[in-house]
Amino acid sequence: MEYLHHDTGGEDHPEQPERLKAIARKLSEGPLAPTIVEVAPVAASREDILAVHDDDYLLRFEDACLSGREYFGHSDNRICYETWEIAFLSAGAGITGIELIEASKSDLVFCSVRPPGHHAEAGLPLGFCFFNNVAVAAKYWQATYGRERILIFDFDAHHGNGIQEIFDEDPGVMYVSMHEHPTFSFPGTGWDYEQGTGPGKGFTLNVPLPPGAGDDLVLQALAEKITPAVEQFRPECIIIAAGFDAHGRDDMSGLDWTTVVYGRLGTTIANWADRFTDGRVLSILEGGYVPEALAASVETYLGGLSLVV
Amino acid sequence: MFVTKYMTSNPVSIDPDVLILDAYRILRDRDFRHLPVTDSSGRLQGMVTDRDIRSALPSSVASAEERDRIMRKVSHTTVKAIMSEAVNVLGLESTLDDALILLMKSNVGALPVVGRDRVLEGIFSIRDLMRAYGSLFGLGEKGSLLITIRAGEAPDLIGQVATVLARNGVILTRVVREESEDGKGPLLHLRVNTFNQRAVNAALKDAGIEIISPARS
Repeated sequence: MEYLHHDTGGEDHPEQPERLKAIARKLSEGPLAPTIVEVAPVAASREDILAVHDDDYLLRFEDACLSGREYFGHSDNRICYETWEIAFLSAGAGITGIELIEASKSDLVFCSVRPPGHHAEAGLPLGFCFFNNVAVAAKYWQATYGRERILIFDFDAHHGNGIQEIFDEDPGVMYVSMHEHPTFSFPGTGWDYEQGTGPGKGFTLNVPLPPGAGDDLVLQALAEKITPAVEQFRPECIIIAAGFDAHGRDDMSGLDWTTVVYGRLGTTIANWADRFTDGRVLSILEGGYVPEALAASVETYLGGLSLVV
Repeated sequence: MFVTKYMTSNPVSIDPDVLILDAYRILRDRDFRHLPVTDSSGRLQGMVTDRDIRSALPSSVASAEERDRIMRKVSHTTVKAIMSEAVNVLGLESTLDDALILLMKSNVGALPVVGRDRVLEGIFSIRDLMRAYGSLFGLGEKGSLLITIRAGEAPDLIGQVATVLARNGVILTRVVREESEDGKGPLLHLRVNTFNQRAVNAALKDAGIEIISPARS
């Protein structure tokens, strides 16, 4: 549980260690407990990170952490001395998960990690993110196992600008994101006209939702836009950028989803996995900033994920 | 705020005695819709548009003889015969607001920008206007979010907002006012460079400022 040592400066910062503690408590006390096996992550290597981030960026990040600065880049991106090492562990969790999946030791892996990743770009920390954990995992899956059709589905309330940017020209990775509309929501990216660039055109799908959007719009988007796109793409692998901050009780977004819809997301993804990836799904935690709502939503999501309806 | 910043400077222009078909080729090759017509000193004489040229060409439903007859005439005709001479223009001191008003009033897609003696200096299109206002409104500025508050009676509201944001180390990049639909008073949309809306919203509320959520009223 080294992730808890990434100190973001106290209770005022939304990205708190308590988030992961709450998830762990809920899962250990709930009905899924007997089905969960805990595995320790192996830290990503420098090469794994360099597949996504610039060498210069790593040097600057390391320097910021080890010289005792309070934040890296924007003042939102709070760090402490340990953050440098912890970021490698956070990015490594997805890789550890891939190894489990490819060795058929597990079909469903959930990486309960912090710091989150999907806002980080090759040379830019953003939105509490330093290394793009999901992107590192996808690149690893491509390089080590030659996977050619990876679906990344991001239902965090905020657009994963980092993931989109990193795979913008890659037709082997389909990035699908449902998020609060960029006119209103951080980070101000993720327009529906963006579909990818060059060879990657057609392999990005943004579904912006208006402030106040509830479960019905989620289910509608899944049925009308997202599932058809997934069916057309026919993924070999699925990575979920699993953020839970669209919950109505989460004050870090203007979306208004219920705990229940995370279960529906789980069953929908389970259905895709059943049809295309032999039931295998790698999920990596992104946002979710009210610990109680986050924990309940994670549990419901995992419950749905383990059901093929 | 001036059109000169956003216009196309030194635009392509043609003489009045250029043949219609040559003008058409220029428009097609460069993917333009508007071509200013200038004299040898660069003074604006008129504008010829894609539409003007098409009006001069024969109808696609006309017979072959009819089309030949008209094309023979067209192939000897210069743009002087079809251009609009009474053209609305912008000046070097014109602002984006001027451009918006004039584009709406004259119902054209682009306006020439002229200097002294009506010498052509640039061309400013609706696209240029859209791009200008997009960047002024902070469209697509990565790392920002919109907070909507009620624009109350207090004259120092903006000052209060600025103080709160400064205290939280948050940069405010845009303030836009919009009439509300709920009859409770206009809205102010604040574009701020932060992810931590929890902290900013709390600080604004503490200062007695009403946050509108979701951003639709």
